[in-house]
Amino acid sequence: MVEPRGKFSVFLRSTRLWVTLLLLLPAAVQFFPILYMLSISIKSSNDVFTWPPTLIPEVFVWTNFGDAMEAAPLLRFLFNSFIAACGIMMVQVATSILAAYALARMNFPGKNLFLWLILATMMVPGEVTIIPNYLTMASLDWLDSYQALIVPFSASGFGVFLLYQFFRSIPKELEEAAIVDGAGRMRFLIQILIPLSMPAVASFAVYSFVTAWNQYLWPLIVTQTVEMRTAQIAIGMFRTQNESTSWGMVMAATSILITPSILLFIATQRHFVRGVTMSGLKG
Amino acid sequence: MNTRFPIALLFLLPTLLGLGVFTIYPAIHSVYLSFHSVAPFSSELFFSGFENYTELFSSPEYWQSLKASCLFALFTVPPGLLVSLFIAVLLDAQPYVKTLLRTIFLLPVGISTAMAAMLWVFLFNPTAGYLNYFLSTVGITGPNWLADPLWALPAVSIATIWKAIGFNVIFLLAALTGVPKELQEAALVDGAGPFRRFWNITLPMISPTLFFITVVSVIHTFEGFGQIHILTQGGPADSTNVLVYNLYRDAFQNFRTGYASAQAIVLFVIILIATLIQFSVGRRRVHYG
Repeated sequence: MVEPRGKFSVFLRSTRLWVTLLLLLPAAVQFFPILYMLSISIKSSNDVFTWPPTLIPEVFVWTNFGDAMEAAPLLRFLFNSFIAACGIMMVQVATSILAAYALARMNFPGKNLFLWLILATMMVPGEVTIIPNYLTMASLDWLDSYQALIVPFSASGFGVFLLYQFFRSIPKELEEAAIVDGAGRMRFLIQILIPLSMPAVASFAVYSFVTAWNQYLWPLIVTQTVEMRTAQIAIGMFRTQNESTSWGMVMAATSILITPSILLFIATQRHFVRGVTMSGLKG
Repeated sequence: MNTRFPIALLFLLPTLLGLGVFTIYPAIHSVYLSFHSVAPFSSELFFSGFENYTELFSSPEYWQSLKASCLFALFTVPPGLLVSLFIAVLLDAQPYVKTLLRTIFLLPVGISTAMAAMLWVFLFNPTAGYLNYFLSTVGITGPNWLADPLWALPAVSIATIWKAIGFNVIFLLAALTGVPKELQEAALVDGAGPFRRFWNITLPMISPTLFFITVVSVIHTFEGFGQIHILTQGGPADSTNVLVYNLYRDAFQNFRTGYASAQAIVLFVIILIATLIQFSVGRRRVHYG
């Protein structure tokens, strides 16, 4: 016989329920800043400063979004970020695959030296290279261009390391068989090795894209005109220019510029998490 | 399979070129620049020996900056780790609405430090922000966070922790999944309560991950820049003028290339030491369950 009441009391006594309830408070705290951003983005300037603060606006001011788009070329900022992040991702994936393939599958003199050298570059923090790289960009007359945002990141020690590890786990016999069948190295790489390594390649691609999208210091110093700003650095400048007029507009702009990151994270969470976990290997 | 050298080199060339020109050469060039200065009213570099370094270590501003970075790490890393551990242990144990809850906690990993800081700017507003409102409901008058030299750095830390929780939870969840269930069950049979089991089994098993997160988080805080540029611009009264911010000011606002390069090298050494500690201690203590 089924006893709903008994079952319910067992459910209530189970620690698992309490664990979930205990998590609701930190989850609410963690989500609150995003909720607050959305709330302010549809508030009027006066409503933002009411005390006690409220989450639900008195009047819904949807025009904040239109005003924000008019105050600054927000879509252009997103486009710039997209070009830079996409460019970096594609170049890094390509260069890393090639290098990882050579290191994992070919024997040649000095191989370990090259491997060691490439791994060692992972220990150099970006802040150390930023001044000479800025000077290089200036001498090439590349400041304020897409090249300046992309080219300095065309190779990735982490990408080579990650794919090298993965390529080594794929049986050598597979390549020998392919070569016997008359496939060249490039054909083997493109038609067999890369498809087999898709999980690692995808994780690295997502990791590379997001890292590039989120860059701050480098775009800040190499871009000069409004048209070349990326989303990350544009938002700070947007705030300084508009916070005295309308916080609603500032948060509307933040909402617009943050949306791609949130959507991308939700869509690629699995790859993303794997990429971050593997990046842990580099310390 | 033996390959003739040139083919392998062709595959390696793009990476070697990219890393050579934009990582290895600049790292060496930074060292070179740090031993040079620019003559006043010209752009000519001249060798100045250790002058930049001696100036650096006798500058009260630089020591203040070093102190700000250390305090930033202190305010960010231990609290961030404790909160993340609490969340990860509960996430690991709970079966309901798993995906949604995980997504909420992990979401900030995908958001840049600059955007994360933007989310917090208005929360810190002293007269209309929610943070001081929540404090007022428990009878505390909140400070003027970002304008108060005493509270600006803790405020930056709070925004940083908010983002770091996602990163920490990813690693802690992976570590917690690796704790063998048999150990827990054996302890349960022996009558050990949940706290005892956590203290005596879970914590030792995940200690390598805790150590790893600590070192990486310290490195992250020492490299912190975006959130400070958005929230405080190094102020008030230099209280948030951390190492990278000070470097940015000297390099790109004061145009003291050599002096800023010396700062870059010192930062490099600090981060290198942290990395080497992670490698040597990590190697010895890692459990791959």
